[in-house]
Amino acid sequence: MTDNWKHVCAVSKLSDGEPLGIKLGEQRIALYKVDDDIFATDDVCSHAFALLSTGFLEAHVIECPLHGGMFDVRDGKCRAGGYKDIRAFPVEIRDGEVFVRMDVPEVAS
Amino acid sequence: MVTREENELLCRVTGDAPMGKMLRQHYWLPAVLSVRVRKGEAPVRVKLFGRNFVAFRGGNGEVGFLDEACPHRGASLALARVDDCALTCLFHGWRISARGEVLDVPNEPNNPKEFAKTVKVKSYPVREGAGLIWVWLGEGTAPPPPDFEWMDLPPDQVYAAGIELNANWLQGVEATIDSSHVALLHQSWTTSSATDFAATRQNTAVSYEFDRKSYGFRAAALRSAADGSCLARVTEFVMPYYGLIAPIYSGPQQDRTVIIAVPIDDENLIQWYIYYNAEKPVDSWRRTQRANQWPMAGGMPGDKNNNWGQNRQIMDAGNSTGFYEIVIEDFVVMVSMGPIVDRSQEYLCSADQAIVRVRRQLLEEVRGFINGKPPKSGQGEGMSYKDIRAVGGRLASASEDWRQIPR
Repeated sequence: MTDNWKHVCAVSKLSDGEPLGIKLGEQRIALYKVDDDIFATDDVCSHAFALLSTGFLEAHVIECPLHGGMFDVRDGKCRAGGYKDIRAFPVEIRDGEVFVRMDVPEVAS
Repeated sequence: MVTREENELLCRVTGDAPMGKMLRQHYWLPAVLSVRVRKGEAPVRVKLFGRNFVAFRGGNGEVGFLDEACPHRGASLALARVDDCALTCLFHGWRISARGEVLDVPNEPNNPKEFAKTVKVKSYPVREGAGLIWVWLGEGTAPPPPDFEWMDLPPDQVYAAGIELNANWLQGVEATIDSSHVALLHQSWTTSSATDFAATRQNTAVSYEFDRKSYGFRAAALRSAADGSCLARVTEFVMPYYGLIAPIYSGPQQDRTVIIAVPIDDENLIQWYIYYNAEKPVDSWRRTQRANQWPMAGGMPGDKNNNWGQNRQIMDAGNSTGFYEIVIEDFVVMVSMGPIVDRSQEYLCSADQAIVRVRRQLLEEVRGFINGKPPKSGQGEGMSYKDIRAVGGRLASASEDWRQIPR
């Protein structure tokens, strides 16, 4: 079985409330630290290509800085703006390092 | 994009508008050029936040700033006689000092001296610096004036110029924080690639990084070049209306520009420019073109009906905008949006993040103010501005830290 877990970075690179944008090969993902939990989603907003990692994180919701789209970082669902949902990736912490499972299918149009 | 309601909250500054109250109460502002207010000469009318004031200079050199309307029956003190350091209203000879005391009420028959003491006069504390008269329009005890590094420079190292424009103050603020227009709107002026300003052409697609500060934020506009190097221009946004622009060249001893957008009323602003050099005299050639001009650059060359004087013939010859002066390009696009642009109708791109952050901070502060909290960035004890300076530099790569660029 292919291991689709990819190592991203050290947990210490993340700070509470500040999203971090990372490129894994061609894939852009955003990481979020909310209290003691780490979440990961697509970094590119489903609306007009802005990077969600440049947006504003409040509790579990990331707000895109440009047109007000809001997404729940736990499941990728669009909470405001009526845009297509984004993907949320499962996250595991192994020895202080963040691993993300990338084999989540694209969201159906 | 903001809602209509948020747009109103950001833009409206006259009457009881909360933004106006917050700005007047917690921040000093530059009101008028020092050279316009001459010893013993006619008081100068100044309009700010929709209110009318007069500025005058007594024979002793001291500046006074009062409501334009005489406290008696509202006659204009722009007509008053000026002495050390008081205004005598033409109408009934009431004499009002720069400190707001009524010194003489010559038409009062009963106890004029005691009567004079009961008259309430609004006078406003002033501070001169960088060729401007700064004023505080709040109620109660004034916070200390901001101690920016240019405030006490000698005249050969700093000068100011300004222009009144038919646009809301926030359009003026946004003009200073938006780096992505530099290589596009101002492309006629970026042909010599020796300057960092011209090097903005290397990549018109800007990416931003931000550092939040007690006074506002630093916005680093980063442009990668084909060789992997990176041009960084770091603008300082200082609440509520200052943009400190990265110098044209990197390194020490640079001439620097500060732009301050001050509200005249809801549909008009003064765009102030302060040019300074912290270490040596400023460029004298540019100074003779601009210094102490009112309005700056000769003013707006026209109005909407003639497209503000846009010359299409020079555009056919290769000029990109049809305007002769770089600052006029900024003024024209700002005014062409209309006196109060409706931000609920805009559609932003990723280069607009700095503008997004300015609005968020202003909204956060004014909403707190409405709920009784003074703004966190307000001028008060402990808020110091003397170390704030816009910088720029060429980094070897995008992964080098722009925060290391020396001041």
